[in-house]
Amino acid sequence: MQYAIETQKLSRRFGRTEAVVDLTMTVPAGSVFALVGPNGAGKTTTIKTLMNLLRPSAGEARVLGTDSRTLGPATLQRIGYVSENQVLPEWMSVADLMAYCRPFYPTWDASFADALLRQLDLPRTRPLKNCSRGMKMKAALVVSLAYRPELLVMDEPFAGLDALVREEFSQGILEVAGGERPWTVFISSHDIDEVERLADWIGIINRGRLELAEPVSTMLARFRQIEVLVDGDARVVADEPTAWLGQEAAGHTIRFVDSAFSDSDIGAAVRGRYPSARDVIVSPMSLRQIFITLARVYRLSE
Amino acid sequence: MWTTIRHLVWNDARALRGPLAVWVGILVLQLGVVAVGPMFVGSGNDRADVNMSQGVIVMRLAMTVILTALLIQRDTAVGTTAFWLTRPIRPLAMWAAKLTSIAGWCLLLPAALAWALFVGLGLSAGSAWEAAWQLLTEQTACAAFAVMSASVTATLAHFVVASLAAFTAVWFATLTARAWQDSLPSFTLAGLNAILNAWMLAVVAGALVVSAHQYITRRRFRTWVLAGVCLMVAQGTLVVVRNTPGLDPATGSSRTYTPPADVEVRLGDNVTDEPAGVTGSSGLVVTGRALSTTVWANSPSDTDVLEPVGVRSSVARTAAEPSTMIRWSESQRRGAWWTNAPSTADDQPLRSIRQALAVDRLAVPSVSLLATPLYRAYLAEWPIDTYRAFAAKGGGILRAEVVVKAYRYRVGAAVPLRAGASYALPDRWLRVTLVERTPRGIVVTIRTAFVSPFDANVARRGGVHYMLRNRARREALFFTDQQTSNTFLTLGTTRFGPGTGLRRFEFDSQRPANGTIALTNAWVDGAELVVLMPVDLGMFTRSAEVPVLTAGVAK
Repeated sequence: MQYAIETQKLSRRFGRTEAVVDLTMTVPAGSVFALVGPNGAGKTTTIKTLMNLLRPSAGEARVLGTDSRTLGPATLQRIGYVSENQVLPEWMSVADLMAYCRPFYPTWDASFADALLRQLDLPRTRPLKNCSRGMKMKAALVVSLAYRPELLVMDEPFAGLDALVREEFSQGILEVAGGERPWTVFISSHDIDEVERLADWIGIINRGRLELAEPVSTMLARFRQIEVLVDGDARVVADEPTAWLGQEAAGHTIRFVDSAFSDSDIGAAVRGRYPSARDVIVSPMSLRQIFITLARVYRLSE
Repeated sequence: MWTTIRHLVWNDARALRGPLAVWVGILVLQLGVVAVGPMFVGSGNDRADVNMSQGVIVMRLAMTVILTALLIQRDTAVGTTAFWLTRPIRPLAMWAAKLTSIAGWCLLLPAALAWALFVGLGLSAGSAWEAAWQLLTEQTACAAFAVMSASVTATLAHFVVASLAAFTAVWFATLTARAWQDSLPSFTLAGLNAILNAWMLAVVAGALVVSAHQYITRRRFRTWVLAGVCLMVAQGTLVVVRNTPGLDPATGSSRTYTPPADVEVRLGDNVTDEPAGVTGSSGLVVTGRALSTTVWANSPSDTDVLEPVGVRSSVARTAAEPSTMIRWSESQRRGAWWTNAPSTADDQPLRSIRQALAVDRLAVPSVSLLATPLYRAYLAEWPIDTYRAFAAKGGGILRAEVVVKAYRYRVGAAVPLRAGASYALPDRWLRVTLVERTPRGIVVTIRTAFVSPFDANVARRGGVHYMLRNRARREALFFTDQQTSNTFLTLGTTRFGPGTGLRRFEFDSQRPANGTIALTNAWVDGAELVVLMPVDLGMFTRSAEVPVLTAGVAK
């Protein structure tokens, strides 16, 4: 199976509100795919539709080769799901929760579950209702990993977690994702920092539309911060290439982000637009910087 | 799948161990109240025992509703946040697990405990099952509504609001159906048991369909609509079944009785012209003009009692003309009590009892229910304009098709008149606890456990009667006064339910009665307490007619 998740023109409406619009996306098997976007962008709706918690208004989604609308026990046995919105049976202890989930999964690995408990430093006997939010999320993670799912779906798993818990949580995910049999991880977040260390694929969703989805390495390679030093007052040209995002001028400097960076072309391209350019400084960008740049662009285009 | 269901049921029990402990406590309390029986007889508060037992019943029903809602909403099929929704659990397995938990805790457990209690109280296994069945029926109705409501709500607060809304809707639907039903000029024959059994089936089927639909599809709006349809169908069932001719008014049976050739079914010839606007005790108003009359059946048999239970009436100008159906109702229901009693009271029940007891003398106080005539007063009602037109032409004929029920008394038990004597009938157990001589007669106190305190399904006017009999002297005496107190197991929606009772019968030889019997020591020494029970013989239909409005229009 090439893709763990495939969506084709997936849409979901709530009355007149379009939460997800024509979302076409593929999540390669074995990847850690981060779906990022601002609050209300449609991440949770997308995940709920993938998990058959919501029915698509149009289009379709296939999860591990199964139509999301017919997602049944056989497929769910291969999927782990962790969500900030999930209501755990709080009367149970962590051990109870594991005992509750275990019979549903033929591939449940008790020793692996114990190892995860130790690694995440979870108390076995404390009722979930007496656990912190971080502990509850870790408990949910344990019972979603213990059967070694092929696909781990996580919806805002880091929201509200402190730095230490977040680190432990990420570590747990990284270990399983990078294990002997690589798993696919599909994770949503409104904060790029939370997933930067995990993801090898990034999808950016905004107002229900998927703006881009590509490997992190490709994205990091094609985005560059460009600074152009010009003689005289800097002035932004009107006919800049569409790949140049967020041009701004200040003093003798023009700054923009090149979203289709090519090491060999940038000098000529800049000088073609800015003949007075004295120097062109090219800086690599972090995922966070790329995300903020794109978020600004999307906001301006609305 | 069974393994999954068992696993889910076990976890439900663990999750709700607190509420379940309360539930078991309530069941034990209620069964304890029934087992101990009435405690407040003679305390000055005649209804204390009934109130207490009904209070515990209400607690049981309330807890049934809460427990059902908790069981379902713990793994709700509403919304997108329930843990089980993203686990490999078949919706049907979850649905079946919930129903299994509800059936086990809310239906079977109380029924089994009730069965054991009534066996312990001395009833036969079959009768104890009948008592348990009544409890099961009540619990099922209660749980079915709760299942419906809990299936489409995610929280207890929403559940309460939805249940109140549904209850209001059902209430209005019932009133509407009843008003429409009252406007029908047809038989309203089927009795409470038949109606409620059919309604119960509809409600249970509705609850199953609604909950299954929600668990499988998780489409709440559609499930709401489905629930509404199911409730309307259930209410419709009430109307349809109630208007089904040929069903026994109480039991729903359609057994036929073949009456003797000379049986007489009559309408009273003193038809009274009633004004419109009469308001009955039930709040119903006679909207048109009404004729009030009586109907009764004379039994030529010494053993069989005939009692009218249903009427369909029509009017015609002449015998040759076609009849026009008119609406009828019991006078009693309209609050117009016994407006038109026949001049002579017939003694059918007394003849039957005398035969059953094999006595020559039977003393029954004139105020006794048994001494009242077996007629039925009813109102035939039609629109005022039709009425005036009919009367202006010199009146005509009021016809009635009368459904008559037949039954016969038999001796169910004869207990020696001494403290400690007991008797076990299949459906009731009784023990004489006290026999006291008084200056005017004798007072007998008994404790009893019963499936129903009196078998009103057979005879409407109290089925089971207690009498004193001296077999050697071929004499019997009906009590002149009684104090009764009961603790019931159920609310008694279909009839007075199973329970335990304490009865204090006063047999007073100086009180007026037909054929007073002197309760001497010698008479009492040879006396026994007899339990008389009616035996259902079936029903038959006869027509009767009487001239009406021949004197013209009443203003």
